[in-house]
Amino acid sequence: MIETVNLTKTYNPKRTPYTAINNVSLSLEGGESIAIMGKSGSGKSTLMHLLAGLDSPSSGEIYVNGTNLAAMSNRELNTFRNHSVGFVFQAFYLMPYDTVFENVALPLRIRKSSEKEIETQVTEMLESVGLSDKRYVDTIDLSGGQKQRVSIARALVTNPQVVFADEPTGNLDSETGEEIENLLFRMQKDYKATIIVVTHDKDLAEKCDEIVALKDGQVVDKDDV
Amino acid sequence: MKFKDLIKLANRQLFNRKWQALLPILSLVVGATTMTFALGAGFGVQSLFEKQLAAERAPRLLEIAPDPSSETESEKDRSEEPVPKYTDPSENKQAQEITATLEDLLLSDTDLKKAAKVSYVEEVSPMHSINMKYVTLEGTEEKYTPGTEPLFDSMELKMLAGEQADSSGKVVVTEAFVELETVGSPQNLVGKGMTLTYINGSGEEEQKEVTISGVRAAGIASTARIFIPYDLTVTIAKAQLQEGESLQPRRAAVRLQPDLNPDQREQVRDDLKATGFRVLDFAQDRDTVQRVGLYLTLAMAAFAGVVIFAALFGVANTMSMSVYERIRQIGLMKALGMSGGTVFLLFAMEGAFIGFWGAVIGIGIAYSISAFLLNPWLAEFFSDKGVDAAFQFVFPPEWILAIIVGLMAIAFLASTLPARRAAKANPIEALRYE
Ligand SMILES: Nc1ncnc2c1ncn2[C@@H]1O[C@H](COP(=O)(O)OP(=O)(O)OP(=O)(O)O)[C@@H](O)[C@H]1O
Ligand SMILES: [Mg+2]
Repeated sequence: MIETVNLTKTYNPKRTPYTAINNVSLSLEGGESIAIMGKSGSGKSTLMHLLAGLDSPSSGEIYVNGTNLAAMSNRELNTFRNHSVGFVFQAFYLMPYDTVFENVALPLRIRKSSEKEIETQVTEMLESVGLSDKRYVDTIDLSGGQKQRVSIARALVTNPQVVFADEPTGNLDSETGEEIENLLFRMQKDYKATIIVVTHDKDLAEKCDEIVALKDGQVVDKDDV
Repeated sequence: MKFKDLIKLANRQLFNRKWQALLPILSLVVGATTMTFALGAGFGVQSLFEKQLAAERAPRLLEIAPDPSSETESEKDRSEEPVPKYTDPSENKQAQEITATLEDLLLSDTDLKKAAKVSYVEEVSPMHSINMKYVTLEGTEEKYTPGTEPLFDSMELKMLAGEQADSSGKVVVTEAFVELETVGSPQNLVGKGMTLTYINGSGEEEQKEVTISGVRAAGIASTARIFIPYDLTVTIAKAQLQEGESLQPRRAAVRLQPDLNPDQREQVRDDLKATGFRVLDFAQDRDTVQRVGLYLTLAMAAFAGVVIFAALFGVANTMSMSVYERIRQIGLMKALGMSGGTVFLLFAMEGAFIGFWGAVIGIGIAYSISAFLLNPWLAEFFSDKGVDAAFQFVFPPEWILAIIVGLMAIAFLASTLPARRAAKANPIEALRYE
């Protein structure tokens, strides 16, 4: 379902070129949980940005369900991200002075869903992540774990094909982190999405169906990391 | 994103940063308050003169009289002698000059024709002075001596009761008649008979029976006057002629084409003066005062403009800060698929709302001060001075709306640079921002 062919990303190609992703060819099954694992600076986030259509590759191709992201216009990429991708970030990235409801509704508002759709979908999502009672609370007043629940709800409310989670538990204590991990895996199964977890945490990576190990921008055997 | 949602989000963003936005809003408030006062004063002057004019005289009428001074004086000025030389009185030049001057005071047919040729002039009607001995009202014996004025069709009198006279058997009286003991209310005057008594050419009393068709509202001055249809004034003037005399008008009413602007009226006045007439025109005062009012309004508007211009830098600065503070949220919205255009609109609209609140608060202040303090005070001040039509600040709603829309538009424009920076932000870099 997700395929890359000779994917390469070089930063600052003119002055101080640095190849963060080097000739990566991958083929990942849909509907699974996949871990991108590697040490800091190995290119995990870079790969994720490329797969999510947030960044464009220097060379190579990326196919998501058969369409080549590298050939898409900015506009098409916006639509692709809005409709097919969900994000969960390490630092949450919420709208701090908007309510939980508005934060989860944001991607639906961007895609111009009707008020009725927004109401039912967001309500259902808040229920799934256990935040129904925080519906009208500004997200700045939430705990870290609650914030990440809001991100997960926001990532899945659009029914995306792929959810990218970059170090989703990095800012949380181990107990809360495990809660969030479990929630993520449960939601992935409930909503039949593909989930790509970026992590340097071996334990988290082991819980995934598949592991892509990165070292210096290249795919290596997971035991070499 | 739907426009409605975008507006809501822009407003929420502004509200969350209301303290940062306070300064530019306050400066816009100062600008908007001044602007509203300028507007209120400008329209106040205009409406005051429209009120007065409606009561007093039609804007389409001018009065002209011959201007003997213009030629004789200019001839003297052009004398070649540095000091006037003695001339023999036997030449009888002085006597000639006096008759010539008397002649000069009358409007001849040629004069009238010349006046009629001036551009924008529709018709020239010679006005004849009539000598009313007295008038009596139906039902009383009392004899009154009010002033008389010719009434032209193109006049639009502001009526208190009844209607403007449309035939020579009818007249209009001013509000002063209402104060007569036997009258009581303006309505009672309408339809009442009136007898006009004057001395005819043979030295005998002659009378004309007329009906009062309406009562004119008082203008700035409320003297007792009767408006007599023009045809009737001609009839009476003819009847008052003595043997061998002919009608010798000293003044004429000039009817202008409808809907002239002040500049065109000014041109008519200049042309008539150049043709050798003296122009008596109530509308001239109006044009002058209107122009003064306009300059005053423009001066205030210019001040407001400077204040608003300065405030725009505040708006731009506040919006720059807003973009800077929200760079991660911008990154997030773009990651979630928001287009650059929508991000641009979101921030430009946030700036426009700074303009909106500045305008609304400023207008609110100017309006409240005018409506609750200045206007009542001015009304009292003028009525103490015995003036019926007081100067008041007037705020036409469409202009108030124009201020709001205008300030929103320029605040929008002032925000375009920061908004463009937001629109162009790269989501990954924006998200990585510490
Ligand atoms: N915008 C950029 N310009 C230049 N170099 C960059 C840029 N972004 C990333 N890099 C470099 O690319 C390499 C890979 O970065 P990336 O963020 O993908 O690492 P990562 O595996 O996610 O690390 P971490 O676990 O610390 O998040 C790093 O060496 C980094 O310095
Ligand atoms: Mg990373």
